[in-house]
Amino acid sequence: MNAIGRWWRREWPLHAMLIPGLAAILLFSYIPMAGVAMAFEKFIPTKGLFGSPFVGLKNFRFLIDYPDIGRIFFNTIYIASMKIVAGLLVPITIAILLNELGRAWMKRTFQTLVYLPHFLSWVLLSGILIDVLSPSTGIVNQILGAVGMKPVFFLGDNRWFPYVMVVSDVWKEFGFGTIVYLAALTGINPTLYEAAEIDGAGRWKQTLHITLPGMMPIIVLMLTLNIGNVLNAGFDQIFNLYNPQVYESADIIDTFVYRVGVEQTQFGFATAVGLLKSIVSFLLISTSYFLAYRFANYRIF
Amino acid sequence: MSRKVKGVLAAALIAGLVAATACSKTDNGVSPSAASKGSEPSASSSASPGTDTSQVLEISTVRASDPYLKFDPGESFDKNAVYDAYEKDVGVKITNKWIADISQFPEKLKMAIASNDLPDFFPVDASQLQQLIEADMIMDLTDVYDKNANEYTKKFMTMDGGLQMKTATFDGKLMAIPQTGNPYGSQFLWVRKDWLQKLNLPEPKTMQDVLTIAEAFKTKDPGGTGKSYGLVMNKNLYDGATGVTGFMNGYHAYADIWIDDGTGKLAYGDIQPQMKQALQALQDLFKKGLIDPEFAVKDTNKASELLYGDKAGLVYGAEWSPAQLVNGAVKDGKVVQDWAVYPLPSADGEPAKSQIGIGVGTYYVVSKHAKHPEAVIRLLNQFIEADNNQTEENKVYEFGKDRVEKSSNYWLLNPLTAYNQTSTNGDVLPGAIANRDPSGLKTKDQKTRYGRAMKYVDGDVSMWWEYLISGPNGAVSLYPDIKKNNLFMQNKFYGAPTPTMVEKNAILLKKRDEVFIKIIMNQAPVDEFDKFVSDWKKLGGDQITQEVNDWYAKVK
Amino acid sequence: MRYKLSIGRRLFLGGNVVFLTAVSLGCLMPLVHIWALSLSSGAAASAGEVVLWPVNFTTAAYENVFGKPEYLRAFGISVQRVVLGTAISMLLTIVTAYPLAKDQRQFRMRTVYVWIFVLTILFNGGLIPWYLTLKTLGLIDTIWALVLPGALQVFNVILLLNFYRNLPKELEESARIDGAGHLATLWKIYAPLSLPALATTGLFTMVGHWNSWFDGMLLMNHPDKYPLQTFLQTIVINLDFRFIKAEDAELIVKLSDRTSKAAQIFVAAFPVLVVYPFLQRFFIKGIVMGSVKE
Repeated sequence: MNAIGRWWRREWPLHAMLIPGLAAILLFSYIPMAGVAMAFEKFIPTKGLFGSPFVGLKNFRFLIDYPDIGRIFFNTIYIASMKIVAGLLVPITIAILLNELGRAWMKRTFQTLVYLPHFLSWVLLSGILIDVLSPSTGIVNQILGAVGMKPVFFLGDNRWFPYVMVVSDVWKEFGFGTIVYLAALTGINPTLYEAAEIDGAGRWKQTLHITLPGMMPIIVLMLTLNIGNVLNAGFDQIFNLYNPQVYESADIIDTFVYRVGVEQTQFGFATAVGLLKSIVSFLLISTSYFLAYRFANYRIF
Repeated sequence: MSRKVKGVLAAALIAGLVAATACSKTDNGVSPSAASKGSEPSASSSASPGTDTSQVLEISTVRASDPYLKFDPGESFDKNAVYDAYEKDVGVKITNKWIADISQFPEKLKMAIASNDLPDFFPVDASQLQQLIEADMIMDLTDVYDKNANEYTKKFMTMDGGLQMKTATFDGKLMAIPQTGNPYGSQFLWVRKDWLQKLNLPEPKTMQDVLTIAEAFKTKDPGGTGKSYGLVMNKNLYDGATGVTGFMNGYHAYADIWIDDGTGKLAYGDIQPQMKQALQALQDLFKKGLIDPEFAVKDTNKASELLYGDKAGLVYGAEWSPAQLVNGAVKDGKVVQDWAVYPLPSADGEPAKSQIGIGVGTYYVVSKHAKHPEAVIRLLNQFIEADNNQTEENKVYEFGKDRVEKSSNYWLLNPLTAYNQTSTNGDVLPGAIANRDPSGLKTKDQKTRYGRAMKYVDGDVSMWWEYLISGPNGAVSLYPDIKKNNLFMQNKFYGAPTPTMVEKNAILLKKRDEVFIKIIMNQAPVDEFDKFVSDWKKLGGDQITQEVNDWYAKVK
Repeated sequence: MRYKLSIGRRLFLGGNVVFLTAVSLGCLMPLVHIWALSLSSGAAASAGEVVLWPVNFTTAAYENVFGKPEYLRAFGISVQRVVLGTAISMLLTIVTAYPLAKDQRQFRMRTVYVWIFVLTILFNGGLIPWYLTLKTLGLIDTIWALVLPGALQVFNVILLLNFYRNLPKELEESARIDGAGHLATLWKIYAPLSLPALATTGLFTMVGHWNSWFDGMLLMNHPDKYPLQTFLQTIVINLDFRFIKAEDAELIVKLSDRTSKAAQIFVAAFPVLVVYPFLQRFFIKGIVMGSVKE
């Protein structure tokens, strides 16, 4: 009793501080989460969430029974995992390179410039990309031509399309992604570098032994959260750039769900797919969380 | 200590705020269904035929706001001359539950339906209509319509022999008021006339002419850009502009519609042998370099750049195509491209028929909980009356309180509209515009178009497009001949999507687009088409054909 | 020491500048293209003649944009939303991340709480129940509908708690000894020392609010209440060319006006572009260590 009393006395302010945050997610996340029930229903608006007929796993079976489903899953995971890896490495590299710049104004200018593409929508960028990547008039192919290579139909060729998605997505988002690593860099103790310099460690060694370990918590965090996106290959981007020629390599879960939705609004089906994706992310994220805890005794969050 | 208090206060403030707004509004959030339930039975019995306007009926709807609607000072969607006129003339007070921009209206409506938060009446598309019927959310209007629609309305709505009304009738019950309209909109061939003259080419009468012109436009490069093509098309083969339905129709192939197979049964256009020929022809064009090899990644806007930039001068499209073409044709206040329009050339001796739909895309439905469904029919009566028999008094429905045209598009405020099921635009407009004589113009559409075309005649080149649509040599001027010879192929299927369609169309359409594009781009031999047909049948097509024919047997 | 850079180091630094310049230019190009479009004549823009410099220079598109009362009104709503939304969000995030940053010994339930928060990133019930909840709360058609539902960004909380955890423990202990409570520790030590992290999450929140358009469309009952990006969406959206009717011709003419689209996009992007360089001043190195020494 006394122990509990003391515990409560010590910890109650911490609990209290969470109340507003918990209220927010209770209202805007947990209550609406009841909607996952739709995944197992044929949702009828008048009958509502709790009165619509139960259809079991029918909505999931519709997904599994779709003739091209294997291909679609493969495309999704293939594109998404490349995006996850590149989307992690590029911003980290750029953050470190920016950090090496001596002059503050230079750093700020570059930082601001690379962050620009994040603010342009894919609707807009798709038009620009079609021009830039055009085999006949596009600048990329003109450069390839100048070094003696044959023009490549990047957006119309199944061998290239997935990589174009990865590269253009990384190009659009890396600048924005860099911000968080730059913030992480500010937390590294400058005295560590001074000490290393006295020990005669070069810049490369310092990066390896001080900078990277210093960023590690944030890197691990970002990696873990991004792994959860393995079934999200980027609807907006692919929807605006794909075409029947590259369906084979470009059709992903979300574009498929969209095309089914065009035929007829099927709330249950879209919810079922969403739930499936959630479960996969949950499994991946929780596994990495517990692995990190078990083997490195580190809590990612 | 004081800081601590401040922090807690801030948190409490936020929480309280949420709670306060929540409390104040929950009551009226859920009430409408409960309140209206009691009066439901009286709905159909209360109104007598004709219109008793002594009692003002209140009715709610939702509206799409259009950027071309300009309000008179002091007026708005909620308070305007058109709504006032309906209240005064037929005793219906219209209220708006919400208003969304026209581009976002469908999404907002979807949410309203899904959350069962419906106004008394609202416009939906065919698939939503189906969904609302299944969910039992809308009212059977058979009796209400029968009792309240006046004779003129009833005649007006069935001038096409009742086809469009039938599309809103399910199991003998009228479930919606179709927004009637004119289905007879043909595809046309659009050609750069200045180039034809420059290169001394004949006007396109046959498909052979089209090929000759395409080849000449490519090889002789009249635009002088060095990168010219013959025919412009985009990745969506069936788009209304820069699509190839018109081209396919030239081969008597009909894309994505159901046609009579000659034995009284319905067959799907995409899998007929004529389609193979059309694809073969497109592949030939592609092989000769007459089609942009990058067309498959471009949408209409992107593909049209070839037209705007003098790189191509041959394209298929609907009568409104000039609204696209104007982007390149009018430059710095001058007309720099001269376009001409031709009826669809045919690949053989038999004239080409342009494929058309039913002509109804929008349906007005009435919520089960509406108290006064008869008010909807009053609106319909009044709109049809005002739109077709204009008097000085009812001009307010078109122009607002001043009753004069000032291009403020006040007619958009009418919450329920229905239009003629045939169009006389082709018979009336070209002559009226040529002779500057508006006396023969009847409909509002004709007057608007006449006004715009006259602006062009008087030197406003930005209205060039309307002249090419409605003027003496415009697209609509070709309609009288097309109609006389009945060169239309109408989709015979107008039922709700069948169960297998709902389930399988996503895969069937994907396969079709994939195969068709590959054939056109010469990445697959034309014989791939035969494999597609058998795949299509296996993947659910046969079942769909069966369902469509079952439906056909019922309605025939 | 500073002058004695090795040759390798100098080569690296030179190469680094060249490389980053190239990368930055690659990122700048599309915006330059849009800028050029916005200042070109309509015909040149439609024909795809504009690349990186205006063709037939005209400011007509900008006159058009700033002459539109809707545009300015939407701009105002967006500003209001960003200010209100960021203020509430940041307050909530700063407070929520604090207890979660404690380790298990100090706050036994922390991991349970963290997972309660994290699950909301992973699972959601879809739009319909979400919309219904907001409707029941009476938020629809008010500015609060744009501000409150996203007020707690769990990603930002996790990010911030990771920064909090890296703060030296000694600071907190000394504050304790001085008798400071949790809130005082948070405001006096945690918050000021995690300025770079706060600038980062603040930026994410602002950008998120500025860019989102879907909620504005769904939750507002009148176009007069649309925030800027929702309003822009009504312009940049692509027409579905399968379903156009003859009466829509006028709409097509208006919607194909690329220069004014470009001008509106350019003006709309401007505020967020300015905010970032301003926030960069908070990315101060060694801020934590400096305070430890004192």
